[in-house]
Parts: sequence; C-alpha cells; structure tokens
Amino acid sequence: MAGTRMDIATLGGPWSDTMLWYARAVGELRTRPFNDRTSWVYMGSLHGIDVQGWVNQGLVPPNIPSPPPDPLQDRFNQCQHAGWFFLPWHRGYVFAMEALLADWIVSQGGPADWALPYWNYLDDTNPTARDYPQEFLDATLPDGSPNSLSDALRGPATRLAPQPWIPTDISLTSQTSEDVYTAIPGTLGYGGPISGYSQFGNGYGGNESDPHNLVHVMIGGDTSPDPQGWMYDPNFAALDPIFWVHHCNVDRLWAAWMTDPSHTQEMGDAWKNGPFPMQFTMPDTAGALWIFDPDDTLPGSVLAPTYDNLTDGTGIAPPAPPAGAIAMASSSSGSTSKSRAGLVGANKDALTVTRSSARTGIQMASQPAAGLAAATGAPGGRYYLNLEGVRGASPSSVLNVVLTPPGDDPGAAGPEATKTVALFGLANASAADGPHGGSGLSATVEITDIVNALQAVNPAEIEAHIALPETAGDTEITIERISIYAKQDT
Amino acid sequence: MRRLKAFQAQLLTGPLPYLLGVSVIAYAALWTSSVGGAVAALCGRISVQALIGYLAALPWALGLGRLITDWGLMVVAMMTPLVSLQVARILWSSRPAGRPGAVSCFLLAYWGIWALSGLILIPVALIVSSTLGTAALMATLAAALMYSASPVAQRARNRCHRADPIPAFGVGIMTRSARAGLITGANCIGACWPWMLVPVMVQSYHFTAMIFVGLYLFADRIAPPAPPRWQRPPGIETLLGSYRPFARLRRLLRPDG
Repeated sequence: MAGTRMDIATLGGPWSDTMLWYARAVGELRTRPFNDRTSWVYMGSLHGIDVQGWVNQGLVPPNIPSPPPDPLQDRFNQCQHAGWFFLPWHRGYVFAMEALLADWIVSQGGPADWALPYWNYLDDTNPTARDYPQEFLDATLPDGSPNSLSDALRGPATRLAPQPWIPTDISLTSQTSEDVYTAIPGTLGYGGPISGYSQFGNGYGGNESDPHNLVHVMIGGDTSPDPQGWMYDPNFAALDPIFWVHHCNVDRLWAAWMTDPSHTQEMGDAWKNGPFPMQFTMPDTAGALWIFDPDDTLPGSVLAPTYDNLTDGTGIAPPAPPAGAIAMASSSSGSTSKSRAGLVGANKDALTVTRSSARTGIQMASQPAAGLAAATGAPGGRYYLNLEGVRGASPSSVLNVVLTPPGDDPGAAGPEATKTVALFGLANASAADGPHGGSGLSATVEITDIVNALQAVNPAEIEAHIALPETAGDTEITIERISIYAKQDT
Repeated sequence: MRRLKAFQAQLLTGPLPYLLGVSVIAYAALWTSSVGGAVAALCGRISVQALIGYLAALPWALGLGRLITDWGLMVVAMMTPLVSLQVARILWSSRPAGRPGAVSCFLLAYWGIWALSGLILIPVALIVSSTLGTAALMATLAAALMYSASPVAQRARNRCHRADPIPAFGVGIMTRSARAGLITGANCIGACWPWMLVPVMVQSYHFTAMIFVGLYLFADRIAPPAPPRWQRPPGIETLLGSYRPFARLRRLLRPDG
C-alpha cells in the first residue's frame, strides 16, 4: 500500500528524498528488458508503442522479446483517451507504476511509505509552480550519477505557458465549469462522453482537454523540423518520467472534483463495470497481470489514492471533505441527468487545414432561439464548438479557431474570439488499421460568450477561421464537420 | 458478475436496444412465415445435375419472391445489431427533425447493399452445397472461421468501426446518411460474408443456426479494432475469452467475477 502522494513543491527540494528515490527507481526499471513486465519500457508500451519508432530511438532492440505467457493477455496500446474511461484507466495505470517503483525502493531500504509525487502546476500560490521541477532538468543526481528523470526527448519549453506551438494557457476551468462527469454528445462534461474500450474515442472531457492535453503538447513541443518530444506522442509519452507526475496531478484534480457535493460523478453500470469484452490489464510487482474496472478506482476502493491536499491548485474551494472521501452526487443513469443538449449549427463540407487559415461558414438554425429551444427544450444555455472527425498524420496537433461574423477579417478579431484546442493522439486516432478504426478525434470547447456576441450581429451564420500554428511545418489535417451544440439545464 | 453487468449495460447503451428490437422482429417474421428457410431449402435439395438444370431452365424464378424475402429478412435479423455505432453517430450529429429520415436512409442503404450481396452469395451457396453435399456445412464453417482469422477480414472489420458525422441541414442529411449506409454495408460484407453462407447450409435447424451466427457476428463486431494480422477470430475471443477456453465464461458465472 503506497503512502500519501505529495506536491513536489512542498517536499523541500530540489532533490528531496522522495524525488531522489523516484529517480533511482526509474533508473532501475529502465535497466529491465521489455519481456520483464516490471520494466519501464513494458509499462510505457501499455500506454502506447510504436515498435519501429522505439527501435529507431534505441529504446528496445530490433527484435523485441515477448513477455512470458500469462493467463491474462498482454494488452499494449491500452491507454483510454477521448472518452469516459480516460480518468479511471489512468488512475489504475499510475497505481501500477507507483507500486512497481515503491516495491524496488522498499527493497533498497527506501521509505516504506514512498508514493509518487504530483506536479501541482496550477497552484497559483506558488510563483514557480509552472516551472519544470528542477529534478527533471538536471543532467545528474546530486552524487554525480546520471539522472534518469531528465533522460527524455522534450521540446524547448521549461515552463508550462503559452508557446509558439500551442498559443493558449492551461487552466482549472473544467474543475468548476463542468459539474457532470459524463458529457452529452456535443458538449464537454468533466470526464468525457460515453465510449467503449478505445485508445482514442470520440470526444475529450473537460479534464482531458485542459490541462491534460495542453500539458502534453507544451512539454512535447512541436518546432518543425525538430523532432517532437515524447510527451507529444502517446506512443512515447509514458517513457518520459515527467508523464507520471503530470498524470498524478491530473488524477488529483479528479479526486478533488469528486469532493464537491455539487458535482455528479458517473456511477452507471456501463461505466463502473468497464468496457466489454476488453478489460484493463496491469502488471503487479511479480510481473503477473491483474485486471481492474472503473469501479475499483472510486473513493474507498482498492485503487483510490490518498493525496496530501485536494484544494491547492485544484480549483476546488476549501473546506473539502477529507482526502479520499466521496461527496459528490452520483448518476446511475449512464448519462448526464439534469441537462439536455442538441445541435444548433454546422458547416456543410469537410475542411482541410494547414498553417494558412481555412474558412468555413457555420449555418445556424434559422431561428437561433427557437433552434436552441427545439434542441434542448428551453431557451438560453451554453454553447459548444465541436471539431468532428479530425484526422491527421501528426502524433498530436493544435488548432486555432477564430469565430467571426461572415466576411470579417480574423486578424481583426480580439483574443476573446479565439479558441485553441490540442488534439493529443491524432495520428493514432486517424489510422484506419489502428486500434481506433480511423474515425479521428473530436474536440469540444465552450464558446457561449462568442456565440451570444456573434448572434447579435448575424444570427444566421458564424464564420470559423481555422489554422495550425506557424510551427506546424507542412502538416495537413482534415475536419469532417464543424458544429455548434447547445446545452440547457432542465 | 461484473462482466455480465458490463455486457448487459452495453446492450442497453445508445440505439442498440432498438436495433435489437428490429432484429428480433425479423427473426420472428422468419420463424412464423412460410418464406423462412427458403434459401436453405433450395441449397438442401440441390445436386450438381439439378443446379445445371435450374440454371438452364430457371424454374426457381417462380419462387424468386420467397428467396428474396427470406434473404432480406435474414439480413435484417442478423445484420441490424451490428451498426449501433453508426446509428448513434447519426443520431447525435443531426437535429431532431432530421433523425428519422437520416436513420431510415442509412438503414435502407445498409440493408440494401447486404441484400444485393445475395446475388453473389446465394449462387455461391448453391454451388458449394451442390458440389460438397453433406460436407458443405463443415466446409463453410471452417472457411468462415479461417476468413475471420485473416488480416483481410480484420481490415474490413476495422472499417466497420468508422463513423462520420452527417450534415446538419438540407438534402445532404439524407444523401450522406445513405452513403454512410452503403459504405458501412460494403465493409460489413467484407468482414462477414462467409458467415452468411453458414445458416443456408443448414436445413433442419436453419433458424437456430441463424441465431448462433447472428450472435457470433455481434460478438465479432463488439471486439475493438486492431492491426490486421492472422489471429484467433475476435468473435471467438469475445465469446470464450482471450487467454484460455471458457475462462471468461467461468468468470462471468463466478459471483465476484
């Protein structure tokens, strides 16, 4: 049983005991071969593996030896993204890695209560919270030996902030703006829309969109023609030790979100019992596989972690219930209970997007108020922009969307008219013969203020100007449809 | 019992309950009507000589309506539950007024291309049945399993998991839905075609064979996409478990499973 997970910034570092043991343990797991399920590379492959890419980077030998047979089958490329299993799967994944690290640390005489620390990058009381923890930058440990925590391919940033390849900032918006776990299709939700066993489903939830995806892309970097960092690509991301302290914080945000009694956690059978027929599989410290369901990750269950603090940097106002408590309401409907949503506008044709701005008209319902009422059962509400069926060859991508009245110059629009979305795992989701079937990704972002302002100018149409960042090189992506959905509490 | 609950919950998610309802109605129509088993009956009584005779004289044209109805109902019964993903995508990417038309266009196109596949599959069934006689069923079953294990079938199955949005306004709602139905149907034929030959090789227990094959194809379809390669057929994996025969069934029946 792991101890309490702590904020790296409060451990008295750099090179606190906790971080020093983390670095040593990562170094040890890296020495283990792929056919050892307790190895760093095996654990990385559970998130995603690009065999040829790993061979090219010297991460594994050309002919990777398989792990020994196990009653449960090894399930590589297992990570759950863009759907409602994102949070529980990653909770189980972090638990499994923490157990492997702690097992070795204890065997070496380290602290018996060692637990994976988290990077509290959105703690606004700490001016250096967004800086990469020094332990991930130093070339060596304090004793001069190589530092495995900095041994990773990353982009040029050393602080989480808007970058040329992702001109937007991380936030805690979804911690308070999304009060229901499961998204109605076309809207955001905290945990994402209903999905099956899918490495990349059809829509990100609020937590996954921001900060999860943005942090991946900020750290990974995309400064063509330089190679993108590991965090940019789900087939490499979990090989970077910074991945685990990032995901530990993402997991803490969920834990904090659940302590708010106004929030509605999904508790329906379709979520709690996990997908069918596939299940989530992790190795234990002996290298045997075990399975878990989302129900096992809820507070009070076997995989539920303990955090030292669920308020600082989580957007959840104190006083929160004790760590690990579950205070939120629950939905057993398999859906989202109190809200209704519907389509109120869409463009006509698929769009190809490059660094040059592409423009498309989003036709709104002829009577917007009536259209909204017809779609949701009531006037007013929140609006969401959906980029549907986005496909591309880049491991991840970023899209800047400017919404204007028809014919307006997007350059003249203010920053309030611009939204930026990160599409983590785009190439995997676009591969026709990959584990997603090639449906691509969908990204959702709230645009209530923009729609309200633009409909006062032209209620019939909104123009979307979409472009990749200047750093994207010659990348080209396609978008099947751009739509606007409205959500209304009933 | 968790696995059972997970499966049960999946059956109740999205439009699947309605699609299963359509499927059951078609099964019931086949069970109760006189056309049920018409194709199988034809396959069962044909010999090479008789086949040559039929092809020459085309007397079976007299029963063409029965064959078409039987084949069409077989398609609706067995193939409708396989398109839950695409129907869900159409439902959530359209406005309420456009949904009935969009779903109808999709299903009609999907059923239509499957029905047309009978122009090839029924003659193939006749040839196999007439040339292999009593061995036809086992040969067809073996061929279907072999095909399901192949990378070609996996490639087609992967495309069956693709679902795109449709336009929100105008005639594009109907045309794009119909196009999606045709594409999904073509991919579905690519993934499942040998299995449609299996029940028509069975005369005495034709209806039972249809149900078993329908269940197998459903199990095949709910397996996630995967890289194309030779593998154990995903339908078998779903039904029996991926690690050892009957292990998954045992876990389903275990109280804490």
